[in-house]
Amino acid sequence: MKKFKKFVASALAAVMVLGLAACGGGGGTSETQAGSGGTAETETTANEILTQETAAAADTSDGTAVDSGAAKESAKDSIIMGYTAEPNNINPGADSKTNAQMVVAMFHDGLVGKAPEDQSVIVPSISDTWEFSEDGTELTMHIRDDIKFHDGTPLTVEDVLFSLDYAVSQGLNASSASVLKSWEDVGDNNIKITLSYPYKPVLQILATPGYSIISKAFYEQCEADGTNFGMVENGTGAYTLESWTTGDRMVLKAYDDWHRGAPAIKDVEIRVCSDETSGALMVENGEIDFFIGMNNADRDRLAANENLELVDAYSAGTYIICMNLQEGPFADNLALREAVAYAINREEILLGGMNGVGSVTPGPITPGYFGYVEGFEPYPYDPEKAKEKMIEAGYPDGIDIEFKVASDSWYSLPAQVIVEQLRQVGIRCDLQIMERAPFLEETQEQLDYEMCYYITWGDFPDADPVMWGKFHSECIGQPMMNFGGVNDPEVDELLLKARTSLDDQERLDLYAELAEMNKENVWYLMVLTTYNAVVINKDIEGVTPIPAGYYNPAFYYWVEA
Amino acid sequence: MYRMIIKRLIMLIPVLLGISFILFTIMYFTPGDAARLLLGDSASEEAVEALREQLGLNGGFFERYFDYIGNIILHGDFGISYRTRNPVFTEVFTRFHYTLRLALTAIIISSVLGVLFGILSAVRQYSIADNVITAVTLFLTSMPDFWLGMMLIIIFAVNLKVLPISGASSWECFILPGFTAAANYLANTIRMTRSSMLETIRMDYVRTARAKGVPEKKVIFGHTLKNALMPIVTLVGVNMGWQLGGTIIIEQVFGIPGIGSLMIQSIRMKDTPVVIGCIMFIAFLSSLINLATDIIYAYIDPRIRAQYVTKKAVKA
Repeated sequence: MKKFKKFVASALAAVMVLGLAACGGGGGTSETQAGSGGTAETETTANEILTQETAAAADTSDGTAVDSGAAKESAKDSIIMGYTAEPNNINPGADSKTNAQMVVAMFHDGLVGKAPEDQSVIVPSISDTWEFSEDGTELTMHIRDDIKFHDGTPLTVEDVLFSLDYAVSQGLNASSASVLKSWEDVGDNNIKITLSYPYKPVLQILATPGYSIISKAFYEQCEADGTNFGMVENGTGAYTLESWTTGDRMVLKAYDDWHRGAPAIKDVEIRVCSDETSGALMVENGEIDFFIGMNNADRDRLAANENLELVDAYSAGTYIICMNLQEGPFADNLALREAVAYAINREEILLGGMNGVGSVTPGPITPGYFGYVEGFEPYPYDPEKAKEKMIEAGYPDGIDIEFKVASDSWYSLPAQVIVEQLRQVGIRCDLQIMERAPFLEETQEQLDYEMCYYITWGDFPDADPVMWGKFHSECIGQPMMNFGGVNDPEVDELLLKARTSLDDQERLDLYAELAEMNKENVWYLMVLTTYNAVVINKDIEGVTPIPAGYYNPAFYYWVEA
Repeated sequence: MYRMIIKRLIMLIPVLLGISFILFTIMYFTPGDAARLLLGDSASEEAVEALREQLGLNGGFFERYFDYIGNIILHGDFGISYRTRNPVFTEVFTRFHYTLRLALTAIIISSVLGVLFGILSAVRQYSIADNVITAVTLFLTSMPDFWLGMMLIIIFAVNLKVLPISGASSWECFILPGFTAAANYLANTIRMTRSSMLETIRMDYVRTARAKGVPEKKVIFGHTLKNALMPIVTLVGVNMGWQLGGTIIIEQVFGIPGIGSLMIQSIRMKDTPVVIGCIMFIAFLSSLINLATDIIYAYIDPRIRAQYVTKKAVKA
């Protein structure tokens, strides 16, 4: 068999040699070289710092004492990861794609970090201690003076202030940036961030890759010599960029002076897989060790493979049915909206539209996020009741509606199940499967639709970004925000109260009340949330589910080579 | 001859301008906003507007088109990619060598194997070998690229594990895509070689050569093939042009980061400068290849060469 394989390979290869010899090389021009990674000396390891400062950190955040540092001994020091969507660039805060943010987080650190085991737990990073003022509107953070950028230059308070200026100017951070009012150097390596209002999850914002700390000098140098800042890096993170062959792969090298401890995995290659099927085959074949972007259709096959392991993370998003509350048949017709609520069977949608991968979601907040309402009961599936509601709504003979959905399978397939369920109660949908760009323009910005199916998304695990965006009247017409058109002063008031409260229980109660109001008024119908599973080689340890998808090999290690 | 070359090169200018205008019009009028796609769903309207302004997306159709064309003509500047902010030229050339490798591999496979099997099929007309070759060519012509690609992946990469599934990091990565891209052209080349050889093989001069006692090998390769080569050269030239612009699906199936993948990526992100840059580049190359084919044609066939001789030269 071995001989046969060799023969096949040689035979196929023979025809190739001429062609490749003819154009040989060439790869060199395609690679973007990273900003030089310098050597840095760190006298105290991250874990020591953490031990010293955990008490302070735990007092001021929701965190408990956790290991924030990098991994243990590894049987092998390299990993090949694969994803289907390559970042457009690696400029922090410029590319909204999850994979772009994931890569940014490998190169950079934020003022604070997240515990690898639990993303809701904040741990020290560039800042080792912090303190909130009594009224919660001022946050004083101490900046470590022993951290160096990859080129060896020390990180200073000036870099931190510049990074905050830079972050709030980036489109990606626009919604969270309004929380931060001003920031200044207050001496002794401390900065003071003044908030626009008391905001408990502000540390979660500062831990997102969009708020990475960058080198001011490096940025200015790039500007001066015309280097594309989005294709290079000089962060303080666990890895440095060795090369980037766009469309093919990124090669990363461990930054051994990383302040959270030298990563056990030294060499990381991130390959672009042409699609989900190729990625699945590559991880099955052992060509890659870690695959992000698995298709639900491949799930059972990959799960059955004894060399692989699936790591399921709840998606940071919830899929929702949205009815236009501003105009059209659903506006001012609660009975019609209730008819829809009674007509949908979430389990069937999950099974038919998502291959059963995920869970039904009755409330507005994804499980695992702060504000998730345990035991929340949605409208039951009751087609008879739905038909009664149709009569009450003034449509005894049924109604024709326009149902818009983006063409991606995770929207269009569940939408087809919904169409059939609604048809059974007399709601006849004209299903319009659209390209994503015009779909967003028509449904989110122009509110030109009657019913649509889309997703809500929270960048960090707190209810505020989702609830504020989805229900506050100031967010009407903003993409991914209040595209239903909810406009209720009472809701606005509750949202503001929940946003600015420093009492966790009060916030939870307020979000539960808002979820109940949403149910009563049928503003949005939450349907399901799915898993963002990653498929990994079973010998890799340390991989924990991350809903936002920012996987970092600095925390992983191999138990077997 | 030189006049013909210069004339053909000059003709390229209006062709490329026409292509740029058509593409710009399509990209301009299709729905979607590059700034919104780049910044993502969650970006604020202000941020999107600022990026639109920065990328120059707010101008009218003619203003934007003439700005774009003006920069190309006056400064040789094809613009900056909206997606990566790299110059379009860098983007295209970074990816081009992958497409070139794939195209050359496919051309070599289809030409070498196509001519060999075509000759075999012609000289053994109606034999078992001829019938098998005919059946294989029918199969190769009928099968869509993406299906054939997936089948090759399943057989050689997944089951036999002798070749990689995807990527472009080594020469092995180009074997399966090379065969997939070659399949259709291989079938065409076999059929063309076969019919051309059969036509030539019945010529009087071939019969004369055989009557003179010239060895069969020399008759086939020295007399028949040389004269049967004309249409094959044309086919190879046309194939090359097609390969450069037509490997989009194959690049997608095999994860090759060539111009085809770049185009798909750019179309999805409405990265107009890169889309136009890619297609103009392919059009330019295809025109050059067609020109080169004509020159080779003239070189092989003295009758064609004679058409390009100027009156002045004839008088002299």
